[in-house]
Amino acid sequence: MTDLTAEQAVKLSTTALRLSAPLLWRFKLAPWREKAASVFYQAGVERHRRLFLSEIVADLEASGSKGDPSHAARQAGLLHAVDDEARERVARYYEAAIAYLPHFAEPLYNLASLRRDCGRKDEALALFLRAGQARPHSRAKPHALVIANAFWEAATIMVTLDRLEEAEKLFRRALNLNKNFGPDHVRFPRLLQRMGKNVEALDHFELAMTYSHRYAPEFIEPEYLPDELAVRQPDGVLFDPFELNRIEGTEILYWAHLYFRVHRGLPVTSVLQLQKMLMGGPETERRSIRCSQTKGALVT
Amino acid sequence: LKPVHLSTCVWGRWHLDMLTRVVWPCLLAEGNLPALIRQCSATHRICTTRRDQSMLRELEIFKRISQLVPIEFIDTPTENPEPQFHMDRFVVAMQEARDAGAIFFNVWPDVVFADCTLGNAALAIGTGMAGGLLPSFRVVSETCIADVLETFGKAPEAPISIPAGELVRLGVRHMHPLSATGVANAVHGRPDTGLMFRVRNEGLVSRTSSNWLFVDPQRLEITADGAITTSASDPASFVHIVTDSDDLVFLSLAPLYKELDTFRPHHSNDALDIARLTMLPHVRVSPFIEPLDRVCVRLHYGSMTETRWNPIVESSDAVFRRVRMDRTLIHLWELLKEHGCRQAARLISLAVFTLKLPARLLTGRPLTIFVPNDDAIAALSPGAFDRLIHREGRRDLLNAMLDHVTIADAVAHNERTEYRSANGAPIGIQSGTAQRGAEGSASVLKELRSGAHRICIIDRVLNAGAETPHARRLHRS
Repeated sequence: MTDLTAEQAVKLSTTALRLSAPLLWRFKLAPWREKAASVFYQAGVERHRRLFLSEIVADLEASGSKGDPSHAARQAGLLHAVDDEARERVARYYEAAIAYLPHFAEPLYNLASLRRDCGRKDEALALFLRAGQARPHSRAKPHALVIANAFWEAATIMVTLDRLEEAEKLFRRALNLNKNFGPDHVRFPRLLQRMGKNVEALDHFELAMTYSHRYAPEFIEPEYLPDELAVRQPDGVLFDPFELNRIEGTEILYWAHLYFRVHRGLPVTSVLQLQKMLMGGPETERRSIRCSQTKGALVT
Repeated sequence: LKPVHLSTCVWGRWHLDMLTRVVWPCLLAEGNLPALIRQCSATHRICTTRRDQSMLRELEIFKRISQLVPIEFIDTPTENPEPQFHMDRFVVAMQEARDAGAIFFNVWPDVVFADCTLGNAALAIGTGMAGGLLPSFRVVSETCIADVLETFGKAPEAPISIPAGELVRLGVRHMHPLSATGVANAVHGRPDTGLMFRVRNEGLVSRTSSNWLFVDPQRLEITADGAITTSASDPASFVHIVTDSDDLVFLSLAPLYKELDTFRPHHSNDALDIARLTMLPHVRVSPFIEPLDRVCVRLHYGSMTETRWNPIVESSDAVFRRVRMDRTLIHLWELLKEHGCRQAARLISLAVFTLKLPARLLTGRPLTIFVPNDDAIAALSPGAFDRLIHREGRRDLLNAMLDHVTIADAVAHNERTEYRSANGAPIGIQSGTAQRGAEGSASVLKELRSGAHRICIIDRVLNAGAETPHARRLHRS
């Protein structure tokens, strides 16, 4: 993974975009940032899924003992060890998505969920609250309910911090958007009981009597538009948008949802090298790089 | 010989690959298809696309299977069926078996059978069983297939013979997250009607994670949703419910990332989740849910040390008593709402979430439960209802509930009859309101049934909150 921070990646890719359309880049900037944010978010979700499954299997292994068979998916490298470092590796993609599009609700929610799992309650709370005020993807699936879930999770953290009145307000904001939080719905009437609102608590205990599913918004992705879909390798694996990737069978490079073509004789193999050429190198080097939002524009 | 339809619905590259590389070689094991056809007249009925039929016919393994049993192909309605089609086909295949007077046998295209599964199923059929429910759990196909072929596949298309114990060991080694979340107290959960409990070094206790391997459609029915039903009073008596993996067991193959959007982060599957799930209309229609919840299945690799298994079995029993009790309470809650007892229903929902109720009492013998109607609760002394629903009033609520339950099969007579409540307090009951007794007896206004329990709606609250916990303890002593 490149050493660029999320902010540096945004700056570098904006510079590259300006290069791609010196006259029109300002008009293209906002829609492109949305797409780039989406691609970093997709890369984050893919890694988040793997982390989540790794947690399940690690938990299974912990419930056994030495005499039990060890899990093959971990041995085969399909899953990995789970620690805060592993969570941080996933978080970076969401941070980049947020750096490109600060009001993008989905990565804000997912980052909050990772922070919560690391025990960083205050950060998680701030992020859930930001997610609640943010904008979900325009093609988010209805059952993802990211805003409602953001308020719900923020309320849950508030309860653990004994900030009961704020928790109640947040639960109510969540319930205005979604009436039933499935097996987790019981959190609200338990809070109401703590606050002495016993009659209303009964209504909500009743709501939880029948089965209702609460989907995990972390993994319910929007119906992406074709031009924001993260690019995949021939084997189906996503290109890492933090890395400079070569598109197989071409001289075209892909990074941060931008395509690059570099004049022969100037091999570029890393993002740092690209950064040096675009932001610090001589004008001749800068001019030797062509950049576009689409691969097709660079195929000549 | 009893006719049997070995029914498979399969299409697409991944499933065909599983069928031909794993399922069919497993069927060729001596204890599977060869053992089955000694006792039954089997036909392998495969519903698939025309394209996949042509591909299957070319394979050596197809020829080997067809040397043992005739194979009939049934066309799918299109060359690209919707995923739901295999569920619809399950219902139709069952009806076809019924029309042919045959036993329906589920040969899933993506499983790993132990080496004597079909043979043992044939033995169960021979003893008159109308159906067979066997345990299974899911494994990661990306790793499990290679392990199966490497460890047990002697040659391509040769029989694969996996002893049950080794299959369970394989299952634990490759357990899919979809099943790992079904282990009690897992870090994350997902909706599941079953639960597994780990026995260190030796295996798993599995509860209610069962599938129908065979069904006699002459004796059992199928709903449009695919649930197996019967109107017989004791359905478990003529169905073979497996209790030990040495009898029947299989593993179900699934890609690692399958159904990831169904998971519930940080919510492990618990008794109430299972109870609620089994009360969904398409699930509760099955009369086998209740009997299955009483069965403990041991999935083991190697011999079992009873001192290790017993405590796990007992704790699994306790969890599934709680499942059955919660289901009883949910049913009672529904019934009371339907019959206008809104306040009592609300108290029951509160009890489900906040009280530690005596599950043995509620799941043991049939009870009579007296339920005060809304007027009776409204007539409580000021503050009494509030005390019951207060967070600190849990003990009062528990006592009030137990005051309204008796283990006697109480029948209301015109004259006052006295019963003992589960709390030991006297309960005075009579039918109708015309002759209400002066000494605090309640009248039964309506009688209902909730499973084995008799529900009597009454016009008065029995002793609720009248005694403090301290006084009640004295009373009991």
